[in-house]
Amino acid sequence: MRIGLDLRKSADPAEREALARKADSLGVWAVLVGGGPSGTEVSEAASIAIATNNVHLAVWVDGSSEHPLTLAEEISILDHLSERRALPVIAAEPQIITRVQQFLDGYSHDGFHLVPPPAQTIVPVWDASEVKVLELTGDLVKDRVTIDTERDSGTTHLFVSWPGSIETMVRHLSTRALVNDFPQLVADLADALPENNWSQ
Amino acid sequence: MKIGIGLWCLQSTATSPRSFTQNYGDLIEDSVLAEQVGVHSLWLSEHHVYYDGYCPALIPAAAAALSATSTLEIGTGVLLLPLASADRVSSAAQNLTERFDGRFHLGVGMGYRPNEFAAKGFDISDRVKRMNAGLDLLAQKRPSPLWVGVTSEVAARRAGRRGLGLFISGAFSSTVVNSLIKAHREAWEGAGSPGGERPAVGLLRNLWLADTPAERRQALDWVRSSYLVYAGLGWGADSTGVDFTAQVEASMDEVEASAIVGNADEIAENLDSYDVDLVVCRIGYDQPPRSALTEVIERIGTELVPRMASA
Repeated sequence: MRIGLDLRKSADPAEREALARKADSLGVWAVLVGGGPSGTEVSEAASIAIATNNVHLAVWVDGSSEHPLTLAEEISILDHLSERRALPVIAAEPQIITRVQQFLDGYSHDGFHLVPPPAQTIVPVWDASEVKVLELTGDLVKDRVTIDTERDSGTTHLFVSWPGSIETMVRHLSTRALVNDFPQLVADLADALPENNWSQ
Repeated sequence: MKIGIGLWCLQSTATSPRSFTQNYGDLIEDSVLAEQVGVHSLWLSEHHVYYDGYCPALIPAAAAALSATSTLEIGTGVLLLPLASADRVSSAAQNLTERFDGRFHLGVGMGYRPNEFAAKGFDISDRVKRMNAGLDLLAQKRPSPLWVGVTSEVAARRAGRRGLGLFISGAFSSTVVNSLIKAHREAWEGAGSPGGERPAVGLLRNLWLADTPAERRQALDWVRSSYLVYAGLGWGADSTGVDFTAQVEASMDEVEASAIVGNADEIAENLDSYDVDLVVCRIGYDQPPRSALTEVIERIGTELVPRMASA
């Protein structure tokens, strides 16, 4: 199971961007942004795309207030700006989500194609109603149980809001989410290592 | 007079095919360079469902360019308002204004290509009605500095009486430009000067800093060929001498005649003749090699901007 970081609880765009930079530097699979006023979601993801290099950009988009072609166009541009990291999560009726996916996949509707096509060969379009998002507590004892339960029940991708440091989340939770025999000893010993003081 | 650059359309044309992803990377590099050399603003342009991928979503592109810079202003020149939800556009513009300290400019236009309206499920015969409704909403909410791209005096008056800025195409002669400005200002005054301060006028001009006769000819050829895209799009404007639907060569001659190619002194002298607040140097052609584009951005910043600062 992969863990992505849900940034939507932070009200400050600058803080969200700083958290995304940190997550990017620590190898977090994805950050989840969006959910604000319709029309602002993809532009925030575009800003984070410029501030990061590797983290995937899950963007929660209100799909009810614009034409599916317009949504697909915005996602395609985000995919180019981010160099293949766009991961749209669409909150809309299923037929709208399907239409967005079809435009991004290269199918036409009423004779019209999406141009430019996205950078990725296939952009994964996720139905917001099926995306799993959890609020973790910051208590590692409890949160380890939550992660183990999700992983072992077959969840493949999980977004979490996390009140602690991203370093702690990655060390203790992103790691154990990947396998069911994570050696907790390693994370605990890593916590006890002296700070790295190499100055170069 | 402020000096900006445009229009970044982010295309891969039949004339000059290239990677779309590279185009968006270049947009970021060009924005950073423009800021470094003192250019006021960079302007993006929009079309939809066109073979060359002409940028269909300006707000995300603008957000990226704003994120990569700290003083450069970014504008849409223009976003096609009747093709979008005006409410959603206004929210997006407001969001960029708040996140980037007012560095975003929203320029809007009406659009003219039937396919673009059909692709979005609209009847092109409703475009004036949708444009007027969108302008009324934007004029009320004022989410950012607002500009209206126009190709006729009717449209210029539409902007003027709402107290909105004017954004004039690079293809028009000085005679047409001056008539649009006059119509805009008269409409603003006739409406009781809404907003109290005369709305700004921005002018696109095809220009290139070049020294030798060979360079000047090359630049003019780039200007001409850049309008092939508008021939493909089917752009024409009534009573302006520009109609790429029926008179391609004559329209290119008209465009070439109004282009300003020369050294910084020659260009500054020409620009001085326009009573406008902002000139957007239209240099985003598809043919020039990247080295030529970056060189002209540097020269605009270092040679033209200082000359126009007091104009």
